[in-house]
Amino acid sequence: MATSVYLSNPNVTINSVSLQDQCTSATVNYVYEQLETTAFGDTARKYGASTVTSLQNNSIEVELYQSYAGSETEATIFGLVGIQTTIIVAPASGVVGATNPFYTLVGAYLESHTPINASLGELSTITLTFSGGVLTKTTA
Amino acid sequence: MDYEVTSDRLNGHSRGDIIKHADLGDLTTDLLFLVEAGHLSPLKPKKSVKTIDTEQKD
Repeated sequence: MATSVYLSNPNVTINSVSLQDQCTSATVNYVYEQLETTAFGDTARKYGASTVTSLQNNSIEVELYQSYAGSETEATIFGLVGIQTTIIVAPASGVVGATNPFYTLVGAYLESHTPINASLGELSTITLTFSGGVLTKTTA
Repeated sequence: MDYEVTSDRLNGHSRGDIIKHADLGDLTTDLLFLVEAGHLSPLKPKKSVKTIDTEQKD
């Protein structure tokens, strides 16, 4: 039987601070840049090889409800712009395991933040993209 | 220096816990951000109690 993922309670930790209850969306992009290794004699384009290691180009995008209260979203995020930090995203809030892997992006850079993103009659949200860094997957 | 956890959001710790920088491992870039954001409060080292010498008068 096919299985699907229903994310209702993922763990989202930014700079050691859990923002799970402010988060509505999280996307982890695990990328190794594509290097072409096509050469004379090839009949089709090739990318990568066992001897070719390209750079990781990872990113994590999260959408959070904005809150200006103490220890909430704005207080936690504002100081992170322009520096590197660590983000952890897991499918569920439980302990790490094979069925709940933790994806940790170390050295991720937050280039920009939108302190005010408000429309009349709507909850204010912010979208953050953390770029770069080394992504590891932990299952134990 | 020790820090008191002052929010309910610090990963793996509860409000009121006393922690050191090393307790957060590599998960944080700089504790100052956590202090400014209200998640931690630095604890001032306690002053030692001064002893008072008393001489007994004859």
